[in-house]
Amino acid sequence: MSDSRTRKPARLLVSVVATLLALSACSAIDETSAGNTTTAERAAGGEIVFGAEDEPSGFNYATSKDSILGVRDVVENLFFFAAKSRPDGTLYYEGLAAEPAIVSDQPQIVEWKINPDSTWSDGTPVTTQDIKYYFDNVTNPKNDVASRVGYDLISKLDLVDAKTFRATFRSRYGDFRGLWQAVPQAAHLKSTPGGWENGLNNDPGPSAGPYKFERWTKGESITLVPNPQWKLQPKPTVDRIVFRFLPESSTIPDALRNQEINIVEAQAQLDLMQDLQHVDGLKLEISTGPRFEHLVLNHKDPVVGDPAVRKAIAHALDRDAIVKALVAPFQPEAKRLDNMVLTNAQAPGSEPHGEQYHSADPEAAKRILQYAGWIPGPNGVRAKSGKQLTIQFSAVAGNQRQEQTLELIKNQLSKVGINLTIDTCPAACLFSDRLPAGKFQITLKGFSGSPFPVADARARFGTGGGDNYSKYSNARFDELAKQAAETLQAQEQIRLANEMDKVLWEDLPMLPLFQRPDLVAYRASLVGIEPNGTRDGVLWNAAGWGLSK
Amino acid sequence: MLRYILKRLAASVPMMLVASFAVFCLVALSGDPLARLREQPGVSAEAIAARSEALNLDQPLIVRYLGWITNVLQGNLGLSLDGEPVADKLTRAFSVTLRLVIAAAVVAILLAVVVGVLSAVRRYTVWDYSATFAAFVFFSMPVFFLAGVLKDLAIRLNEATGHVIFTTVGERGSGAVTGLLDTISDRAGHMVLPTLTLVLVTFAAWSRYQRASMLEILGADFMRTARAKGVPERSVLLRHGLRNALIPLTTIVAVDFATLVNGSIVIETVYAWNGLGRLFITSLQQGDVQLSTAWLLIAAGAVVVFNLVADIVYALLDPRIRHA
Repeated sequence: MSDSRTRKPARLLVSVVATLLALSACSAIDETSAGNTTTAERAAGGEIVFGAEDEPSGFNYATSKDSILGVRDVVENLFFFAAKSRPDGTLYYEGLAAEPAIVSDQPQIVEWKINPDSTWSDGTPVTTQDIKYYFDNVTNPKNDVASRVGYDLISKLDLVDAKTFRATFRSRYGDFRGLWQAVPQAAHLKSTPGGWENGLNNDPGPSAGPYKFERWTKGESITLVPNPQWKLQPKPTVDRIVFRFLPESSTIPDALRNQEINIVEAQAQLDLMQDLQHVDGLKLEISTGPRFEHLVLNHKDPVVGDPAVRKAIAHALDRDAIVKALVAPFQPEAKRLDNMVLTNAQAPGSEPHGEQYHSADPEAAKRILQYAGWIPGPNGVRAKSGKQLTIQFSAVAGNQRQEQTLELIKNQLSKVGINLTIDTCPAACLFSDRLPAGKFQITLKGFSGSPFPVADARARFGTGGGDNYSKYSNARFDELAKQAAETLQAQEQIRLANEMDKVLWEDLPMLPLFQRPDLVAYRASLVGIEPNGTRDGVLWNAAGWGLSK
Repeated sequence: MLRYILKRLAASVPMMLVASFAVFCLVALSGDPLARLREQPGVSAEAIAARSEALNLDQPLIVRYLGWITNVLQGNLGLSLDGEPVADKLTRAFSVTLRLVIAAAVVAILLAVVVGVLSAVRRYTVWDYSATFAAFVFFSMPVFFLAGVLKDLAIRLNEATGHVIFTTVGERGSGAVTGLLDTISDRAGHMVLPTLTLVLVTFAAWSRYQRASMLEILGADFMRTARAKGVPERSVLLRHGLRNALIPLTTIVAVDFATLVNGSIVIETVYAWNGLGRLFITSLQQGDVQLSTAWLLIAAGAVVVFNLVADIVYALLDPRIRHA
């Protein structure tokens, strides 16, 4: 289930680096900020039906209840966004008059200027009051909020005027450009029963994006129509965009073939790709982002905690073969991932590390194990002090792709005398119980990177980090991560992130395998579609979508 | 009779309690309701813990079940994961499924009666052999396969004509529909394929029952008597034969009705209908324990009720059963 639509994280990471690179890379704000389509290519009118896997649970994306991809997809073109990510990971500032400015370094003070043309669909302007109400709610400890990252570092929010506001950070925060995402209208939220947590359960209220909400037929579809108050470019030319809910991916090929949906974004899987390749009049495009698959190695386990065993595993694994078997059939250009921090390999600054593990070297693995006292037994399995080198691999039951991966890994490790046994359990058991409690030796996991790779890495590898399932701890890493989190210079943050990655390759708390590809399939009659592997997804430029003339 | 009904209902209560507990445990242990939240980047451990607490996931399973069943007994089915009342979701989905099942049942009954009676009357003719062959083909064909084949044929037809005559997704169109005629046409267009699928798999078995029942009646003494009295053959068949031969089918339909609702799971999945079947699958995928257990409880209740209805019909028709 968790794998079901994956690009979410992907996009974010690109935005990470986007965030980081924003200073240098994305200052241009022009008519092509959200895509390259021009009105000349698009016919006036028509309907585009987007096949959506998840139905929203409400529209307040900031709450944990609504923090799902299905909500993000819909509000992407409804709410106020200070910044969004382009497919290349750079940022453009949709809701701002200019890139946020650093007013002061110490303490860090940043100023945002809301675009003077940003207007809600009810005709009222987007103002700093909307920002203030959002900030007050996100930082209110009594409220249900999925993530307060960044907002919790703001000690003071000053409203300079109706369109300008400044945030003072209590400690330096380099990812400030990613703040103010999916901000709903304050006046609507205040006046709606249910307030912050439930006020947007059925209606998102006025829109600040290129489309506005028209209706929600529960269980069926959500319809958006062009927002007449949208003054930016590009302007929508279609009559409506419909989100048609199709939780079963098996229905996608026929729905596209019968033209009941025009476009879909889904995790790229071989069977789905094969089905879609036989549909006439379709375009298929693959995008990748910061979402990736990896092995988690438990440092607190008596066996896997042995550095020699971890290094032997890294040498024995033929990651290229895994990529070739699992991803290359539908993405021939797919490559193994060699960075554990900057996990969007396509983003600028992500350097490959762990050179010694780039290609499988079973002989090196054998030498390391031999030296560490793991001697081959009569059955080929190594042993030390009478104990066999058998490692239990915890996996989610019934996940076909994971089973394929496990078979490959098992075969590769057996060649160096490591016996891998598979222990399957339900997802809830693995992710809610065994991983947090460290009751595993090795497991396979997907991770969805955010626009904040350093913050992600601190959570995954920092001492005591919330997602640190490998129970890894390294003072040098912690120090580098702290420096990276506090720097305001994008290039310096990337440099530090790469340094952090080098430390990780020495200790091996995990082994990255590959980025998970996302698929966008759409009718050839559509124009303006630009797949986007970041959190913003393919809907990032829906304002520029249209039917070809 | 009342005593009989109460006795039957009382006997079903412990069965439903045990079934609900088993289902509650199985669903709770097999899915992670917070999986999608965990997937979201930047979601804090505190937010996950708070959500877990809000959904009572931090409580022992038995405590969760007792809380749930207590609410159910008070008429409150609780909230789904997205905060919407389970009762609202079930009601909405039920109305969609009911539309499909009733339409399919009506057509299937008519088809089964006509085919069954004709097969019996024209026993061992080409018609009988053809009808028997067709019935066994549809009876033995997996629903998902038949649905897939019909879907593919319909799309091919659409492609050949260049128009979307048959729709394959959902129970209604997503575009702007204005006016009553448009609405009726839109709904009817979406009903064709799922209804046809359900009709074909259902009528097959029913027509066999109808044929056997009719054959038995055709050889009955009262039929011979009617003919001997000079009653026209058409009247003998329809007024004396068919009326009596319908009784077994009536009870079979009553029993099968709940099964039809459950059987629509596959059809609704294939045709993306937002009925009970799809709701159940989605609830399982999302680990929505309250919704899936409530669904199963109601499905089990429906089976009990329809079985009871069948028993009552039997009892009414045959006093020996009532007094046994």
